[in-house]
Amino acid sequence: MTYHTILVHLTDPVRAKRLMRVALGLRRGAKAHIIGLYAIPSAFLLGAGMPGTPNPIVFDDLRRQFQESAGEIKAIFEDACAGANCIGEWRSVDAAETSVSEVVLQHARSVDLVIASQVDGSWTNAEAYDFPQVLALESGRPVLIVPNEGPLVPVGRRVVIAWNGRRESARAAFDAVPLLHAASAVKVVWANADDEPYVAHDVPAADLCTALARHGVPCEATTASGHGLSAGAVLLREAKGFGADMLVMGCYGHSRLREFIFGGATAHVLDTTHIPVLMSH
Amino acid sequence: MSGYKTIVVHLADERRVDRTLAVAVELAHQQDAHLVGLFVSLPDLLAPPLGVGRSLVAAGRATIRERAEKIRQKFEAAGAGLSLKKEWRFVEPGRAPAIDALMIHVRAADLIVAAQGDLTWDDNLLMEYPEELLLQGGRPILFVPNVGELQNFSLRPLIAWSQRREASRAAFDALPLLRKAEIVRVLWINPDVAGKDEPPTGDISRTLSRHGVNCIPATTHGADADVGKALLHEVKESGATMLVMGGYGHYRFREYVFGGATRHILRNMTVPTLLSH
Repeated sequence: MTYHTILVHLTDPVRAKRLMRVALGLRRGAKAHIIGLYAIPSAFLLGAGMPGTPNPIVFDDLRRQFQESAGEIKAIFEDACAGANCIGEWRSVDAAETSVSEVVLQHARSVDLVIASQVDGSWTNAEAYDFPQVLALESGRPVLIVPNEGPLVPVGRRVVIAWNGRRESARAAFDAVPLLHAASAVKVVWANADDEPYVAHDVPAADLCTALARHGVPCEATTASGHGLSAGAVLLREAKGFGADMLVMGCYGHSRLREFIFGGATAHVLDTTHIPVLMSH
Repeated sequence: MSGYKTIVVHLADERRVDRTLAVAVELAHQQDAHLVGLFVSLPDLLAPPLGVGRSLVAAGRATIRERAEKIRQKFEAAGAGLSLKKEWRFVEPGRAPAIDALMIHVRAADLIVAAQGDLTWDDNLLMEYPEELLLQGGRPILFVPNVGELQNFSLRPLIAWSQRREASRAAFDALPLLRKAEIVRVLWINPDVAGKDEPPTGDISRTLSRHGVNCIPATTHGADADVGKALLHEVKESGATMLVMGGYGHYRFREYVFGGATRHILRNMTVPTLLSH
């Protein structure tokens, strides 16, 4: 089984090209259906409906920017699809009465895999329009997060899976199976196992390896620790040492009163990764 | 995913083991999966230091071992002639909570199969963990009802679709089953009785179709408070042989609690039901 329907959340022309390269690189012979989703934010009204205010002040600069870029991004999407054996479906959606993230989430819940960009910290609007971690937490689908920097090689040849025996890591590992089929080497790593309250076996990741092997995935189980290093840092170090082109890990976090709080390793990897990361919650 | 390759069936109550095994065996056979039979004993909570009460603990342990042995024999005998790959695991958690031991085993499986849960069973609270399995397992779970027909349960699944995270999880986690089904109904329960909104079932139906699933979108009406009832009614009316739905719940006051519809279904189900959280 493969991912047949892939949704790519596009925000700007530069990163759209990177995302499309990763998306098209995931095709495994079969004709993939790729949805390019472009969500245009609504205008922000200040003072609307308040008694005593004259006319509401309308902030629609960003909305207009998004509207102006729509044509260029659509062209990038269609060019990318035309050159490849895939069916492209362009969706430009107006987030009229809701937030952009809510719109993307609605579309994301009906697809096999979501592809989105890493948060660009230098972008002033990143908080509202870059939200791959929220997609991973709330969509119920695996999200492949593409870093904004670093070379883009075909994803999924050499893969590191982060495993700590918890719910989220189980989710991520099994959600990644369609990608792992094509991998030439997979390493399951329990980072900083000594810090965990319980350790299952001598090689805690062995059970997962056995289950993956039944799917035909070639894998080995190890533990890794770094004195004074966080689990996130150890994972990235292991991925680098293994020559990994993708990291698979659980997305730890929860939402409280519409605020999202993320686990330490999740945040660290999201901030600093140079290879694509597949996350699930 | 290339189907379910590792299925863990959690067995606890001798009286209901046959039904649970019937479903697990049919599925393992259909999917050509490795079937793990799992029995988790109780932790030695009663064993104080210095060996006080040692005989009581030993007696309790012996009783449970006896029960496990009877269940093991049923497990070994199940599906004879089908050349299944089976593996029996008997776990004594020692002083650790039984749930921790259980989780270690289920999280490395593609699918969990377990009995519905029986509130009238003496050991229900100690040995059945539907809430934890569903909300903390991280894997889809197929609950086997204590009553109702089980034969050919995978022929006509009904998916309860709501465009929420959990429903999405369940629909995709059920794919290996759905692909083998004759026909799959994707049902949306519109909470607005007079509503003529566009049903949100189109996208998910098309995505499932690309996997080779033969699905039909359907709509019914029902207020949010009655979703559980409406679902069971639809299952009956449409002749569905199994149900696929999001499992809702959260952690409150140091225990896991199901959402309303999930609880209603788990108490009143009559067809095998696949849930994901």
